[in-house]
Amino acid sequence: MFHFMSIRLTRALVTMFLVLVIAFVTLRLSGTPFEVMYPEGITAEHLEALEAKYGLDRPWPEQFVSYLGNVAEGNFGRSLYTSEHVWKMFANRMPYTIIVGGLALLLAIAVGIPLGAFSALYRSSPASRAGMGFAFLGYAVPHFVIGIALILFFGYYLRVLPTTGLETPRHYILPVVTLAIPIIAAIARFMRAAMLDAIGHAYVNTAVSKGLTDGQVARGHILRNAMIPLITVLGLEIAGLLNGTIFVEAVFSLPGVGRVLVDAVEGRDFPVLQFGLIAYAGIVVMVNLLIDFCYIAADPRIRVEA
Amino acid sequence: MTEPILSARNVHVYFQLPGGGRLHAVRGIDLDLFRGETVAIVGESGAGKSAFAKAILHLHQLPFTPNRTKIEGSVSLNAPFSADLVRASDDVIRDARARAVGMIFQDALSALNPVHRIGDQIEEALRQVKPGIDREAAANQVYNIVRAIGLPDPERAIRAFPHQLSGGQCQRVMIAIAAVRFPVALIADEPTTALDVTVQAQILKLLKSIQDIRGMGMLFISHDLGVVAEIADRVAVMYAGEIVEIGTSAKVFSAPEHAYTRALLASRPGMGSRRRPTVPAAIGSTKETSGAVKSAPVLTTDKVSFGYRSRLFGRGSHRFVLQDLSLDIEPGEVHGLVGESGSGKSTFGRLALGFLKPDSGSIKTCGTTPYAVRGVHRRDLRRNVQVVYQDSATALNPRMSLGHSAAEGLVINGMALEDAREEVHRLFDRVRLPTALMNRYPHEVSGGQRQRVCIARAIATKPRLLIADEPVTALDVSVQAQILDLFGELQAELGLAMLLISHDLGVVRELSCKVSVMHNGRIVETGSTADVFGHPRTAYSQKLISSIPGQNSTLDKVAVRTTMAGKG
Amino acid sequence: MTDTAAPQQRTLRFDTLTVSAAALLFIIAVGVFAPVVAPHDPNFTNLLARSKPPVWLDGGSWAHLFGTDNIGRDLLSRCIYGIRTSFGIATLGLIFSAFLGISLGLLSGLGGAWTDRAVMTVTDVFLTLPDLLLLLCGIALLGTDIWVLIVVIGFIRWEAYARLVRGQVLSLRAEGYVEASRALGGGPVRIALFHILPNLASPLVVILTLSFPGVLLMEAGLSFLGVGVQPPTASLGRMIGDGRDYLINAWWISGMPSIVLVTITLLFQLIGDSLRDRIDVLSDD
Repeated sequence: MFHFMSIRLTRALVTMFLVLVIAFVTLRLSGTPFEVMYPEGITAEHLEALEAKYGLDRPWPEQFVSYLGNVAEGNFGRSLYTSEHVWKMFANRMPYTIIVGGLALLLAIAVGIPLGAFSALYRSSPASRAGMGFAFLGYAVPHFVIGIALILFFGYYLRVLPTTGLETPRHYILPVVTLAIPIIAAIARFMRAAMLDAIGHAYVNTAVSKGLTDGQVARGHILRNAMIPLITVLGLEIAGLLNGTIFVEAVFSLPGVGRVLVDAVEGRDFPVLQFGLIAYAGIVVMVNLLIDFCYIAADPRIRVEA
Repeated sequence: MTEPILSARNVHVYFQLPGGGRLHAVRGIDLDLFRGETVAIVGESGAGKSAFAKAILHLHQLPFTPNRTKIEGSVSLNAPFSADLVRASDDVIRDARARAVGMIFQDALSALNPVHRIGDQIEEALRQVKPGIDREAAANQVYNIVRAIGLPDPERAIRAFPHQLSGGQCQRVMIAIAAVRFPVALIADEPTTALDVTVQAQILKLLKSIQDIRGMGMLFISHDLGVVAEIADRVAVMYAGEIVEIGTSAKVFSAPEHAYTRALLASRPGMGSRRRPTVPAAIGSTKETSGAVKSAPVLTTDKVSFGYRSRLFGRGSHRFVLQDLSLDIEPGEVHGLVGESGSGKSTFGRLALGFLKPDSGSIKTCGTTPYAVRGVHRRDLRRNVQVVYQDSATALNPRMSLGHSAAEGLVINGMALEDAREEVHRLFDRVRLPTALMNRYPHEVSGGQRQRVCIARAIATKPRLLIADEPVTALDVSVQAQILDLFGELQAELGLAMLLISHDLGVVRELSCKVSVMHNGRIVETGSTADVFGHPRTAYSQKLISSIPGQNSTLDKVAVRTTMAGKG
Repeated sequence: MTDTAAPQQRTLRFDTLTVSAAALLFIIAVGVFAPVVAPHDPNFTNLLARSKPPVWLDGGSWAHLFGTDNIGRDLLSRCIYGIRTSFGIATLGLIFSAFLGISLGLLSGLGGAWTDRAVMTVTDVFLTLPDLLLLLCGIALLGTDIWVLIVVIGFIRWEAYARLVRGQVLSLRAEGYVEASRALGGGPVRIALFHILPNLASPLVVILTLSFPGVLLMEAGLSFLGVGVQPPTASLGRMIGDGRDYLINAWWISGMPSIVLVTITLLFQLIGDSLRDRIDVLSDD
C-alpha cells in the first residue's frame, strides 16, 4: 500500500511539475506581453527597459524559479485584455464548470454501472441489447453533436427544456446529460467487459459449488470484483470529462470557463491559457488521487501486503 | 452391502462447441460411491474425468451464461436426501451443492475470491446450511474448522486475504469451505496438481484424515497415478469418455486388465523398467562428435551466485536466487537438476545460456563465458548449447510455420534455404514427425508434436549441451513417456550432454545418470542417480524423495516387480 | 484456446466488417475525388438560394440534396470537401502520433530499466492531462495552420500506442520463441523483424482503427470551437459550429455535417470492434 501510494503521489507531483513547465514555456514562447500592451509599437530601448524591469532578461532557469514563486503565491498574472487577475476570472466561473462536470460524473456512474452490469448478466435480453447499442452510439458521437441533437429535440421540438444558460435547476438538465452520455457509454462498456471477465473466474465456480443462488453470486462475487478495474478506468475518464465541459459550455452558452479559454486562444491571451492548463490539470490530478484511495479501499491485494 | 451415497448410471455429457459441433465428452458412465470410501478417477487430460465430476453438480453451467452442456442418464443422491441430480430442479441442485456434496478444485488460489477475507468465505459456505446462525456461533465454527485444517495462527488466517496465503494453505481453506458444511461426499478435482511434492503429501494426509473422521465418500480426480495409489480404495480408469477399467486399487495397479491401464502404468516416468543411459555408454558415443575440447566438461560452474535487487529506488534488499552453486557436466552426461518451484533451477539454466550474468563466481559453457562472449565465439556457443522449454505453445512463434521454426538455427548459421529445407525434412523424420506438418502452424498441432518441433530445432545445430527446462511437464503422461524416450534415443545417438531441469523426480530418475538436488538456491546434494534416490544423504533430499506419491505403496511394489520381471 | 482451430476459409461474406469497410471506403473515395464528385463549388454563394432544406423536406430540390446554408452554399458539396479536409488532417495526425508512440514504446520496451521508467512516467502523465487544454495552448502559440493542427494533434495522442507497443514488446520478449531464437544465435534485428513485429502488427491495426475516430473528432471539435480549420476551407466541425445560430429555422446547416461525421466515426467503431473480436489478441490493457 505504501509502495502503491508513493508511486501515485510521485506521479501526481511529476504531472504537476510538468504542467508548470509547459505553462511556463507556453508563456515565454509567446513572446513578451509588451507587444500586446503597446499595439502602436515601442522602441527597442523602451522594450529592453521593460524587460529588465520585469526580469525577462534573466536566464530561463532563473525566470522559471521566480515563476514558481509567483505560482506559489497565487499570482498567475493578469489577462492581457481585461487586466483582470486571471485567478479572479476563473474563480467567478469555475464553480459552474465544476458543478456541471461533477453532476455529469455522478449521473454517469449512477447510470453506467447498472447498465453495464445488467447487460452483462442478461446478455440475450432485448433491453440489454438496446442498452449496449446506446452505449456504442454514445462512444462515437461527440459532445457537440449530442448537445445539438438534444437542443433540437427537447428545446425546439418538444419545447420542454431551456437550452441556454444556467438560471434554474431545469437549465442544468441538458448540459449535464450531454456531458454524461459519452461517459455512461464508456463506463457501461467497461463494466460489462469486467463483469463477463469476472464470471469466467474460478472463484465464481467455487461460489456456485457452495450452493449460492445466482443473485448471491452476482452480488458477492461478480459485481464487487468487477468494480475494481472500473475504478482505474474512471480516472482516465476525468480528463475527457473536462474536455467535454468546454464543448458543452459552448453549445449551451454556459457561464463557465470554457468560453474564456476559447476566447483566450483566439486572442492569444497567454496568462489566461496557462492558468487554465494549471487549473484543469490540478483538478485531474486531485480527482485521480482520490480515485487511488478508492482503489486501495476496494482491493485488498493492494491494501494488505502479502 | 449398504446403499451408495451417490450412484451414476449411464451418464453422458455433451458440450455444444462454439463452431456448431458437439463434443461427446462422457460416454455412458456407471459409478457408485459409498460412505467412507475413496474412488479415484484417473486418465489423461481430455479423458472426460473432470467433465463427469462437474456434471454431478451441474458445475459446467456458469451463472448468467447460456447453457452449452447437456447431461443424460441419472445420478441418484441418497443422502442426506434423495434426488436424481440429472433431472433435479435448480433449487434441488443448489441444495445438493450446499448440503450433500463438497467440491475442491485444482488451483486453490484462483478458486478463492481475492477481495473477501478467508473467514468470510468460509462463513458464507456455512450459512448455506445454517441460514439462521448468529454471528458468534458462526465465528466459533469458522474458528474451529480453520484450526482443524491445520493453518498456523487461525485468528490471523481468518482475517487474511487469499493472496497472503501459500498455494497449499489456500487448498486447506478450500477443504475447510467444503468440510464446514458436513457434506456426505467430497469431489476433489486434481486437488494437488498445482502444488509442490512436499505440500502435496500434506494435503493428501489432511484430506484422508478429514474423510476418516467424517466418514465422507470421496471422488478423487487425478492424472497422477502416484497420488491415486496413495489415497484411493477403488480406481476407475477413464479413456475417451468411458471407464475402461474399475476395481480395487491393489487389483488395478498390480493386475491391470485393460491394455490402456497397462500402458498408463508403464508410461509413468521413473517407475518402469525402461532403459536408462549410463555414463560409459554415453561417453563412448561422444567420439564421433567434433570439437577441440573433447574431454573437458561442457559446463563448469564454480560458486555461482545470482540475485535480484528489490526495485524501489534502487536500494533495499538483495534477494538471492542462487548461492554458491558449483556443478560440472561432462560430455555425454545427463545431469538432472531437481527441486521444488522457486528453488532457482530455471535461473541456473538461463545463466548457463548466458541470458543472465552471475553476481559472483565463474561459469563456463563449452569453454567460453556465456554472458560475455561476442562475435564468432558467440555463434559457436549458440550452436553448441541449445534449449528446450516447458511450454511448447509459447516456445514456437505463432506466425511461423513449424518447418521455418525448426530451420531457424540453420538459417541463422548461414545455411541456404534449400539445404535447410532438406535438413528440416531429415530432422522431422528423426523426431518422428510427419513431414507434412512442416507447413503447419503451432496452433494446428498437438502439444506433443509441438515439443518434437522444439527438439528438432534444438538438435538442428548439432549441439554438445542441451538444456531441457521441464521439457515434459506440460504434457500428458503417455505423451511424456514418448518424449522422454525420444530424448533418451537422441542422447545416446548424438552423445549429447544434457542438463535436465525438472520438479518431477520420476522424469529425472528416468533419464539422468547424475542428479543434483536444489533447495532455496543451493545445491544440497549431488551424486549418481542410484545413490541419490537409493540413499539420499541430506534431510531435504530424503524428504523430497519420500514425498513422491506412490512410493512405498501398491504402485511402487508394481514397479519393483516389473523391474524384476524385466531382468528375469 | 483449443487445438482444434481449423484453417479459416476465405470466402466473401456480408458481415458487419465487410459491409462497414465497404461503406467507409466509399466515403473515403468520395472525399479523395471531391473535385470530381462534388456537384457544386463548395464556396460558391448563392444568396437567392439561402437556407434551402434538404431534398426530402418541403421546399427542397434535387439541385441541393443536403440543402444550402445561410449564405446559399451547397451543403452536400461542402460536406464532401469537409470529409476531405477532416480525413486528411486526421490521417496525417494519426500517422504522426503512431510514429511517435511506436518509437517511444519500442524505446521503452527494449531500452534499459531507467529509460523504461522515464518514458512510462511521461506517458502516464500525458494520459491524465486534459489534452484539449494542451491543444489550445499549442494552437495559440503556433497558429491555426493545417500543418500545425496535424502536428499538435499528433503530439497529444501518442500515449495509447506507446503503452500498447511497450506492453507487447515486454510480453513478446519473455515469450519462449524469442528466447529460443536468442539461444539459436538470432540477433536483435532478426528478433525484431521475425518475432516481434509480425506478432505486434494485428493489435496495432486494431488500436489504430479504434483511435481514428478520436483524432477525427478532435479536429472536428477544434474547428467547432472556431480555433481549428479556418474559413473558407470546408470542415465538418466548423460547419456544425457555424450552423448553431440557425438551429431554430434551418437545423440542417448543423445537422447534415453532424450526420456525416457520426456516420464516419460509427463505421470506424464497427470495423475496429469486429477486427478486435477477430484477432482477440488485444487485452484490455
